Amino acid sequence: MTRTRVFEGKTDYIQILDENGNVDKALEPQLANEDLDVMYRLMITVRQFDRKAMNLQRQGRLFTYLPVEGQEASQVVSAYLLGKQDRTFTMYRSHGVFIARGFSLKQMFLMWMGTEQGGKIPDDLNDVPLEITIGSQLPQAVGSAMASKILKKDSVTAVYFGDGATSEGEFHEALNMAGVNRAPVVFICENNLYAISVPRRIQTASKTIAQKALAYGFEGVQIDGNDVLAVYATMKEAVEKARAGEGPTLIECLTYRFGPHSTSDDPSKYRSKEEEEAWVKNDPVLRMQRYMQARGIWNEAYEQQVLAEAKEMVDKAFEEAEAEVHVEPEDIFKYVYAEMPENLKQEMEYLKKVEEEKKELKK
Amino acid sequence: MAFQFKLPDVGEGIHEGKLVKWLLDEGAEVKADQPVVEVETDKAVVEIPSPKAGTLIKQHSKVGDVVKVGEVLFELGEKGEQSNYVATKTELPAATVQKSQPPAPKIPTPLVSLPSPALSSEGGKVLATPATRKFASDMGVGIEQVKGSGPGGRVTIDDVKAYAASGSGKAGGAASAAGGAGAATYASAPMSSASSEVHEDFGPVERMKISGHRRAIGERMRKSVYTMPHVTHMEEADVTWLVQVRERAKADAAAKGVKLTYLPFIIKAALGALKEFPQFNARFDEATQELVLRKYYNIGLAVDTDEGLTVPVIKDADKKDLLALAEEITRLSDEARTRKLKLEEMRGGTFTITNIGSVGGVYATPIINYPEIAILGVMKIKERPVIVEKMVESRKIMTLVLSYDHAMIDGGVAARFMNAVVKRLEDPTLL
Repeated sequence: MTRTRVFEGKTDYIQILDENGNVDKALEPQLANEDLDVMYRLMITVRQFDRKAMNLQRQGRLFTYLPVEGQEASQVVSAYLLGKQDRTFTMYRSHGVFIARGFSLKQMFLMWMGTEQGGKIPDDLNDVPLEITIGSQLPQAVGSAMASKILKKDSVTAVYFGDGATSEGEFHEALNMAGVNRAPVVFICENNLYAISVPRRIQTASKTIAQKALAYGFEGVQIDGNDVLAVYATMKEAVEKARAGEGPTLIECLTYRFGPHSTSDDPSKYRSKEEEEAWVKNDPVLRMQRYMQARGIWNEAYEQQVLAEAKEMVDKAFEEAEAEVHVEPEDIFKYVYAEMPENLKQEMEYLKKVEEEKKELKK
Repeated sequence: MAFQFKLPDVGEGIHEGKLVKWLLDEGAEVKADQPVVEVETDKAVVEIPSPKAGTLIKQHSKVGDVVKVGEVLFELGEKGEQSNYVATKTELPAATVQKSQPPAPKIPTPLVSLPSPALSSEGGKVLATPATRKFASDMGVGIEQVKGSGPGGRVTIDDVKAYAASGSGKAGGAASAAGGAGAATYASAPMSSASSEVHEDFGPVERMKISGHRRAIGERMRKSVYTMPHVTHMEEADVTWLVQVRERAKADAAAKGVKLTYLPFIIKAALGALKEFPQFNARFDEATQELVLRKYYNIGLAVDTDEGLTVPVIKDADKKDLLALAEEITRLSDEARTRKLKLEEMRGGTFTITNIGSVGGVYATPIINYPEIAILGVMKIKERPVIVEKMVESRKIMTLVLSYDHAMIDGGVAARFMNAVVKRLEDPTLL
């Protein structure tokens, strides 16, 4: 009888720019000032959009909204590293990914106003509409990545999901398929510590989410998701690896949403004030400011200018969206099939009739 | 022009919110997107920002008020502008009512924990264990009427007993009578007992307990329909002659104190046909798979009483003349309506006649009185134009319907049986 070790795994945690602004020079990615400027502006735009959207929902002008504030770095920086030919699979909180990918702010407002035109992917983008159902986008993303490999397209797929999604069967099926097929996909898990109110510690017995990749035969890495440099370096490597045909990577971004899960959630019921305040000090935007300041490309004047520009863009986009928004009850039926089947036509006619009757009653 | 800000749905499907705090006083300058007020919904406390800049000229609710979605929360306007907004009928009263209502009385916490079905208040109705409900149902007591003495007003078995003993429930008496002796008759069981009005999904309903008599009818009807493939054959008889005969006989009978209806004639006609076609005076023996032809003729008569259908039986009808039949019909009908029929008087039938026509109807499809094999239905005699030898004449027409067990009897046989009945009704000398 022999007993030999057949598998031994390791999972790294990466932080390059720490909370106090210290940089690990050995790991620091080579970033041009222009890249930093663009990424910073994107993050500020995301934050302005996010705050505006929350306000608008409270005023009854958006139906519902799921804020992203606090998670901008992991979304914006990772998406920034993707090219036009690449593809993202996203979820309801992926506003940062959408903005970094080049969706118009107007369209995003239209989406959260519940209009069909808001959900349409612009013709010049290769991305897929966001997923509301937890984890459904994962197998789809792997399928898409496998397709691009089979078709020999130079396209990498990035898929975004939360910590809660890792408990879904789809996550495991997707990782298995990706691993065994060496699919060109990057799994980006934004671990913001809560699946709505379920804390990470009762989500899985694993020490990290990243280590789950090992079971499927590829690399997983846990990073400081509020550290733009760590996100940049890790994502860059993962994208290059996928593009070179060397298979998938799972990146677990440790981050935190500052706000509620959604506009109908009250996080004070499951998070402490102290915890929230500690994370606000760990704000990815603040940390990036410090890094850029150290490089001599951030000051108060620049900040005011970036902020004003972002605010103006967001306000203007909403004005345009509100002027354009036009929803008819028939929209519910219109966009499912290229040609509307008979049963939907009948339902639509019935709805119209009911609406007419309601109008009659009001007179 | 003042701008009225209405409380939006700040969650998903929120209908109202409680005003927690005004963040700005009346008269304050407001910037666009500046938080103005805090509202607590059933999900969370949210700050509500103003959609536009202006002066807060009026706060339309006070701290602690419950504001419905769509109600005006505050108004913005020019500095010094007065609010002249008045809530319309559909808006504020709802909230006012809510405020002035005293808190709903709370059901005291039960001292002991009980299975959840007992605690679930079924739309604020009676609390009782399933065993108690069953007991009340068996006693014929509507549990809604019983005052509960248990924790939280729960009705106990003792409460039901006490209620039944007090005689408050009329059903109590009936139930004990029914359970009393075999002498109790079908007709004496009440149609319903202890009904009560309750609300179901789409509106108020009344639940009626089914009496033993009703249940017995139902069981026999079901057994009949589910075991025998029913076919109903329909025919007309020209009874103009019979009508004349009966008119004359009626006066004679009346002189003897007998009420002569058409029914004795119909029974006579049916008896003649039954003797010609013995398979109609029969029952099917399921166990032996035999048709049991009865050599006696007991004719059942369906009688419509206040308590439901009752079928008294004329024994040995073939041995009775018209007047005797008439007398027996009168006696049995009266007894049925006054619930004096004895069990024996409702048993042993071999063929049934239902005189549904006395109430109304053009045709009917009667259900066979299980375990008999057929039933004859008689409709009202009507005066109708009939072509007789190329001339239209006014004739008296009676419609007859015959339901029979098609498993035992073919359509041709049934038609011939019916013809035999019709022949006798059209020519009373054959009776």
